[in-house]
Amino acid sequence: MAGSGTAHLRGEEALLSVRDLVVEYPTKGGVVQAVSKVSFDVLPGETLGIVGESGCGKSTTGRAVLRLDRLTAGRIDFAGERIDEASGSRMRELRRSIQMIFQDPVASLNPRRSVKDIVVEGLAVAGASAAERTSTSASILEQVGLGSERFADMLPRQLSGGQAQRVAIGRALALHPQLLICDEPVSALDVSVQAQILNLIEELKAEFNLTVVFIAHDLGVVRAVSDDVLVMYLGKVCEFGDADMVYDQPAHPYTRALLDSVPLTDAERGFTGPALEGDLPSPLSPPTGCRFRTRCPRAEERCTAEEPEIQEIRPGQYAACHFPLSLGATVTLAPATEEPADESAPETTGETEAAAVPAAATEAAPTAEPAAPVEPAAPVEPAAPVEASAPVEAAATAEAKTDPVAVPAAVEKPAPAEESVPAAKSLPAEAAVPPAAAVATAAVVEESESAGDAATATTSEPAASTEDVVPAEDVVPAEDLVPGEAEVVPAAPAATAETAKPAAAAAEPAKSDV
Amino acid sequence: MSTEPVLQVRNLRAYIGTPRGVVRAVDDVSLDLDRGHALGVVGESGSGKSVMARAIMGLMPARSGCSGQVLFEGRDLLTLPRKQRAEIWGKHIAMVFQDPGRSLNPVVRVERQLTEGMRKHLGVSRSEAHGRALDLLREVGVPDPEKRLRNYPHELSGGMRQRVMIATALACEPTLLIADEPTTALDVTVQRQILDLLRGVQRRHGMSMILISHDLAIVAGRTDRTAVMYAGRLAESGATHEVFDSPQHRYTHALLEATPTLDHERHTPMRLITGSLPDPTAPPAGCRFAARCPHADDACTDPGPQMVSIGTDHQVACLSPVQASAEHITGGELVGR
Repeated sequence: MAGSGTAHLRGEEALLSVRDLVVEYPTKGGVVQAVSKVSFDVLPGETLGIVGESGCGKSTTGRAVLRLDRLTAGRIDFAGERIDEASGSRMRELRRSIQMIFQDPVASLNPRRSVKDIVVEGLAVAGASAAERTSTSASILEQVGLGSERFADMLPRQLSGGQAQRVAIGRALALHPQLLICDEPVSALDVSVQAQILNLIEELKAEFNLTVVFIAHDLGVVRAVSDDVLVMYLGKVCEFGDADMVYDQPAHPYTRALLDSVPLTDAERGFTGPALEGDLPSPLSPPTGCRFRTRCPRAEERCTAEEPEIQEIRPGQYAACHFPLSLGATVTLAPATEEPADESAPETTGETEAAAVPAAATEAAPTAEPAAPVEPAAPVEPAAPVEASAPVEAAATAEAKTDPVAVPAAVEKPAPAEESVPAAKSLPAEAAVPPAAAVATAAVVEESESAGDAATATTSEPAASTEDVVPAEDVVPAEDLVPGEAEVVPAAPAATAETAKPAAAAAEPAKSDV
Repeated sequence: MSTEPVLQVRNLRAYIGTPRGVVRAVDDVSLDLDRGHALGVVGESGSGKSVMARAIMGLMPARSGCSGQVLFEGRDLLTLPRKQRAEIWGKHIAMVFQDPGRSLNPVVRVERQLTEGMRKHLGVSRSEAHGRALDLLREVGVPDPEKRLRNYPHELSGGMRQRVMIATALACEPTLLIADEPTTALDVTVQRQILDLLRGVQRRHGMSMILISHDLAIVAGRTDRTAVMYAGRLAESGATHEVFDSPQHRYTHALLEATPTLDHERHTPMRLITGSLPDPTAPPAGCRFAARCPHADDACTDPGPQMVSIGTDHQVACLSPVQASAEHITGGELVGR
């Protein structure tokens, strides 16, 4: 991949043009080049889709256009004006014309403000009168499908994901922007709601005469809305071109691999092509030359030595690759064999970057070693004594899946009687709960009581109170690519956090969508 | 090996108490899983698919209740004495969770997480466990396993962590592996690797597997049977190719239509499902999809559909199935809802 270069640019007609954009983040482990010399143009009224896996720099690129992150280098022009040099106050004005919607719709809304206030937040900043705000608020909510009176005074937490995303879209459009940047706008939503939001964005795009930059990892979603597509990998551009051409005849091996990795609902095939091996290399020390070469089945020595420039492969389609795929080349990747994966991924990252091992590891390797002892030595001692110590053990090690026994014991402190629904494990099938919803609570509690000892046994188990548990969010070092950073993570029992979660998750659907 | 299904879920109900009322997360679901087969369970959030897995695994949250039967090799997990259940969970039934970053203990090295289960359940010695841990990591495609055993979870990438999770689940050679959204937190190319890995180990070990996902496509290519859930109920189940090639329930059909594909005509409206999930604390009578279904009529809410067999291995609970064929429906064998 890629590479740099400008062959694919559209020149002066573009509403937004980005040239050699570089965004770097200093981290403890070194400087991350999130975006590395990326250039693209977006023509007025068109939609540019930016796709790539996490860490490819697609979101950073979107944020850079709004100057939400500091640009390290590069030039951004919007409607004939240089954004990268604009002053803070000028930028504030420009942001009325460039609006953004984010991935997590609920988190991107102020939790303490009502829906009708949120949608006109931008207008308030712009100094609109109260009367103007009120009338705009109503009309915008109508346009995003939340016209019903009941939504106006709701708080974000009372909305479903789809509704919250509608509010976020309304807030962006209230300012009548020229450019809308959508950063993974539907990836947090269910499929049925996702389609609603995508259609809404398409409708409003026509209505408001918008130009859109649509950032997403889901290639199917991007396909549905984009005129042009920009494929990124590790901060670089792989491929750019008309969406139909890029999807139907990808020129870059990475684009091909991405497309082949999309699961299909076609039950016979599942996937269109072979798997891509290995993991994303560390962004702290990206591979030399083409950044994709460590995972690329077509990589040769030249790819290590020389970074490919973007070149026109076919009219309207550009790729940064020394060995682009020719037309009609369908099976170009090495098929996933049963042999140990060949070391197509030379170690390039240092010892310290264990977090992102660019290893050519696949499930192919293990064939040599079919997990030796199928029938292991008979347990010296059946698990009985283990069980007694289980709760402590689990809290210490969070082995939810190997020792789930301990987990159900993690019961909250006895809940207030009217709310409590003790676990009733042994209801006979006949004791089915009556369907009448109104009496649901009573019914379950009653049945639980009739279940008698079984229920008591379960709830009275001595256990770690969930209150003692550090919230799971604090525990997770998750995406932390920087080694050493997460070492101070508290010893919170992930297993318990895990059990606590379903309650919240189950409560989620209670919100209704439009 | 007996021909009896490994897992038989009968009229399972799993209710969870919340401040807003009792959520009927799973409401009368029955299904079978044959030995060595992979069952896909699909549904959107709120369909009850994860809660069902947790009910099977005994991982229900506080203030919840289950009824019905979960027969694992003929023994009902809901009524079995605790000690016997403890024998089963982790040893015979293992689970892989969605977010490997959260389900691995951040302060415990990979080796201990991997070996804890086998030391406990299989009683193997420390050195034997070490050897098995190395084998397991090799099997799931973790490079340089000796080094990885000494790593903490944060030192591994998301894909590697999920491989470690899978290795941990395989440690005791489980009969049944439950994978709950195993790839949702992963990138598409890594997701691909993990899905291939899961299917591979499932076949090699002759395990049964339940693969739970919100993404129909994930289940399509990697399972033998598929069950579609909606709002706590089973909408449709059957051989995977049947369900995907000729979906019968209106919900399954609509969901497939709404899934973005790689050949979607640009700027054409996506097919969508209007409306939203019913209130899980007060679900409507009859078919729970009726309010969102363009083909629904009065009979859908009263008396509502029963699960009926259509074809050899295909059941659906829909009164106006996609290929409405009267004799199929009326002549079908009633198999419980």
